[in-house]
Amino acid sequence: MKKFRRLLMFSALCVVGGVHGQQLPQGATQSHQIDLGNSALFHGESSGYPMVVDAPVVAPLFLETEHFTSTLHLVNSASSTEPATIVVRTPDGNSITTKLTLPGHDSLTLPLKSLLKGVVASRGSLEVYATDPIGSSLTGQLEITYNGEERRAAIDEELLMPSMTTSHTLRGISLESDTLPVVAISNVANTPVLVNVTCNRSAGTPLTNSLQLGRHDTKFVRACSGAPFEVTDDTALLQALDTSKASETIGIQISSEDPKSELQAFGLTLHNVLGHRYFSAINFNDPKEWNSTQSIYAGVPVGYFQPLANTFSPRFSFSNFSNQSQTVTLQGYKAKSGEPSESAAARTIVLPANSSSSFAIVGDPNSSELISYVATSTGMAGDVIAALMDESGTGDNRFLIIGKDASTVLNAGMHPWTADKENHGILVAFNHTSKPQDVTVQIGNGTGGLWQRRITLKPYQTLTQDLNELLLSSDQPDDRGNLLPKNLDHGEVTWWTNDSRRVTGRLFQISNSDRMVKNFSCYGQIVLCQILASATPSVGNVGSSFHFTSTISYCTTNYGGSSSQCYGPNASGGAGATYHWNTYGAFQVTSSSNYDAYANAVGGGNGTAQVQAQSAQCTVNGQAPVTVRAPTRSQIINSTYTGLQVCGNGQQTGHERDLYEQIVDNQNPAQPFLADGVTVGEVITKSSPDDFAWGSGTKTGSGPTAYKNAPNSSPQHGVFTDALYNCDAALNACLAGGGGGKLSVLNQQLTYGGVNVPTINSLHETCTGFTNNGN
Amino acid sequence: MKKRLFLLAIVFASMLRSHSAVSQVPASEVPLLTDVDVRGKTPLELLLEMADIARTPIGIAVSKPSIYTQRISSKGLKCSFIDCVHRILLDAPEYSISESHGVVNIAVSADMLNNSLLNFTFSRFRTFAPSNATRVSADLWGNLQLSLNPKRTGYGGVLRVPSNDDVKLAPFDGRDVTLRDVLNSIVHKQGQMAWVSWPPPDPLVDAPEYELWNLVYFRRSADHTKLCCVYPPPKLANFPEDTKGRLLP
Repeated sequence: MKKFRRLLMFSALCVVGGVHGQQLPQGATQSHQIDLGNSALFHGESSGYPMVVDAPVVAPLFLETEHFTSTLHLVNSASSTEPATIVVRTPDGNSITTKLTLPGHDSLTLPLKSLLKGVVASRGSLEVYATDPIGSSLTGQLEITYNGEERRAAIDEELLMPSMTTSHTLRGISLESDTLPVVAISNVANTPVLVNVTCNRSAGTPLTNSLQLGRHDTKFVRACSGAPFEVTDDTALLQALDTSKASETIGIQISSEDPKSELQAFGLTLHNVLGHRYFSAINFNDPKEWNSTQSIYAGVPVGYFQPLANTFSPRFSFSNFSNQSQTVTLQGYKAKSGEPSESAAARTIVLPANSSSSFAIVGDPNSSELISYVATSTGMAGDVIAALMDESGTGDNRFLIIGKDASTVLNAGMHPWTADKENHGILVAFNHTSKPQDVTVQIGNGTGGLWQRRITLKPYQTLTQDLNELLLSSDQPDDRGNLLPKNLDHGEVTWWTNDSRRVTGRLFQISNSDRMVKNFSCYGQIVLCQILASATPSVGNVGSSFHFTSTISYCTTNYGGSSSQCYGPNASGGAGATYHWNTYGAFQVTSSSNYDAYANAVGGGNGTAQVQAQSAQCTVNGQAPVTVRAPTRSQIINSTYTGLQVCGNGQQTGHERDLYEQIVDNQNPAQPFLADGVTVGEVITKSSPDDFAWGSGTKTGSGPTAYKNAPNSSPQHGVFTDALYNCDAALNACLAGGGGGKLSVLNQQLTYGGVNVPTINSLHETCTGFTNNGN
Repeated sequence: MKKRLFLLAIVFASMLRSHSAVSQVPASEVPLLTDVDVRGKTPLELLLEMADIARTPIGIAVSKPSIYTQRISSKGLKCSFIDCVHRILLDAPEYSISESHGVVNIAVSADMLNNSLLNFTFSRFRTFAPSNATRVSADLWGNLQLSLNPKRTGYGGVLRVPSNDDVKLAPFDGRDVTLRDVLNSIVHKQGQMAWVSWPPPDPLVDAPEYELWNLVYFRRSADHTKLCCVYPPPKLANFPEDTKGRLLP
């Protein structure tokens, strides 16, 4: 199918993007066309569909009820302003479209209520379409906030990208609870599809239910229960969430055998802990998109966590979807040192076939370090999935951390950040390899400021960058010496490594007043996409030195499967590539050091310095053209002639022609060398014929004739003066009117700044005067 | 090496530089030169530099090595041009000072070889059209060669004319004049130059001009910032390398 020709699906990718030329789904033709108002970011609806947009990413569920509100966070990791179209769908068939643009390196927070534009809906789904013609740089995440308790709780829902090229299977985990989960399942395809929902409990035979989804249909199901399976209204939805059962962890698989199916899902599980109610999210992944059997959890608070003033204990949940028993080993590493964590010594859990289980690591209130975890399972990639809920000992604070595939081909994270008196942002990035890894961290804001630092992480070390501290600090310049403007309070943070499969990161966002935690874990891909080379000077003289420099750029890109896609919206400059310099033409490289090189001009003419930079799978080439000026000949700019007259001791006849000259170069047209104070040397040799005994006097052969040139008369520069003269009895006949046809010839070899001027001047003397190469 | 301190004042130098190219200031009356540090310069260099600053034509007949081998480092002397010349020549005591037609001449008076050149007498020396100093100097050399070699029919070639030699001198016509007289007349008429003669080869016949004497062009303006040049003949083997062809700053 055309729209997927260069897109594979990453269910936890969050990148908005796709292939162009796709029309909005037919449902969009019934959309409400309501503008969001006079915000500069929003544009009025264009008149009529179809319109050309990209493939969407989808949030299968939003809630806008008494106790739930939803907010869409969009991030633009490109330097340029990027357009996006948001389509909100309600259960009654409405679709409300909003078009907007997002400034470069910025984030945007959109309350769902504003996107509904007055349409009343307590739930629904939304799709985000990017429309940049060279690919998308937008990522997004939907945040559902539960307000039913004294303390708000965020439920993070990553935007998902449908695909037709994979298994049409989604898997997720409902964390241990005494209620049954509710799952919203969306069919993004244009055809109806039959969906199976299977639950892996802690024991017993998996339970499977089925339902039919129409095209672009979203339905809610009470997963893992018998009838009534489908939830048809909001009241039933909340009732369904409250349905009690035995407390257990449940793995959920949603699948279809229809090859045309395009499924997305998101679920909620209600928890009652120590008198507190909270909801946990069920984020679904396509198991075929997992390349490894390792799940990575970066920077998990274990023990006392100062920003939340509470002690946390992570609970890990696992579900084995295979028909064989599998073993999971969990290893923790201290953030600062990368050393194995004592409080999380390697743990092993055995999961019987088609079963789920969980265990908690009790945090030590006297320990306050972040721990990063690697959960490694036996079996095939995707057989065992995991989830982590970090819980406070008081039961009133918790947050879900989404595990990432250790071998994802994506190499970057793009997250919104807010850092002010109310909000605290902390970036974590975990090197889950046994070798040092370089991570580039870039913090931007659409209104200004772009802070970039390249950091080397030791094996298993975790970067912890507090954005609030960074904004307040005066001694944390980036690699170019820049500080972030202190007045910034929100924007976009991107981190990336040159190679994928090395580092995993995310952004904590903490509300200080009620200590609500959000986690932004969206992934994307940053690739080397451009190199610009330049020469200083671009035009120089032979013998001089040229300095070549290059600047590389990284771009966000949609992942292109096995083939490299080294283009997209420009995201940043940066470092980290390997360079190779070559020169072609009239100069030679004398030294090079990564992004710059020096070369000496050894001859005249046009030349090029070529630089190749390589990072991961991308190679870019740049070149800087250079013109090397070499002296080629002298050029007469003026002359005066003194005619034949008596000279010497009165017995001779003489005449003189003064030539005002410049040395010109090899360009077309030739350009004079205008520098003053350059030595113009000459060697004069006699030639034949020599009817007038010319050259019998001064300065034949080499002599001290190398006066430096100087301005002759303003504005002429680079001028030197040669006086061609002869005073000889052999010219007497000329004065008397004879001597026609007689000729004397001298050859003049010039040097300019010590460099030979290749054109040798042929100086002629006749009775009527002097010529220089016929002039 | 005997070192002396000189305060070279340029108080009046800038004022003098604004004079026309042919302005003349009586040499003995020119006050000179404060607060110029002199480091390691030969008497020859220093004499030319002071003549340049004072805009005072000068002629120097180089013979004894002291004038180009001694090095002077100085600071803190205030003197008139002629006083400074005397002080400088304390490092080249064989040399004496005279004045001819407004031009200070410095020479070892008993040097017969030099005198054989500088005292060479022309029964008549004349030029036939206004010419710059370079060209007149070439005519002087040509007349010398015509006189030394009666079989010679003439002289001629290519002259590289320094850019600051752009003053046309009125035609010369003198009888029973020495070569020194003509050189003095050239620098006097031109007003912005000095002559330096070298110990001449023997015989003088066909010796190139630059081995006999050099014209040294004074700095004049922002566009002519060089004092150029002295080209000692190769036989002055101990002539300091850093002074050969030197463009004085």
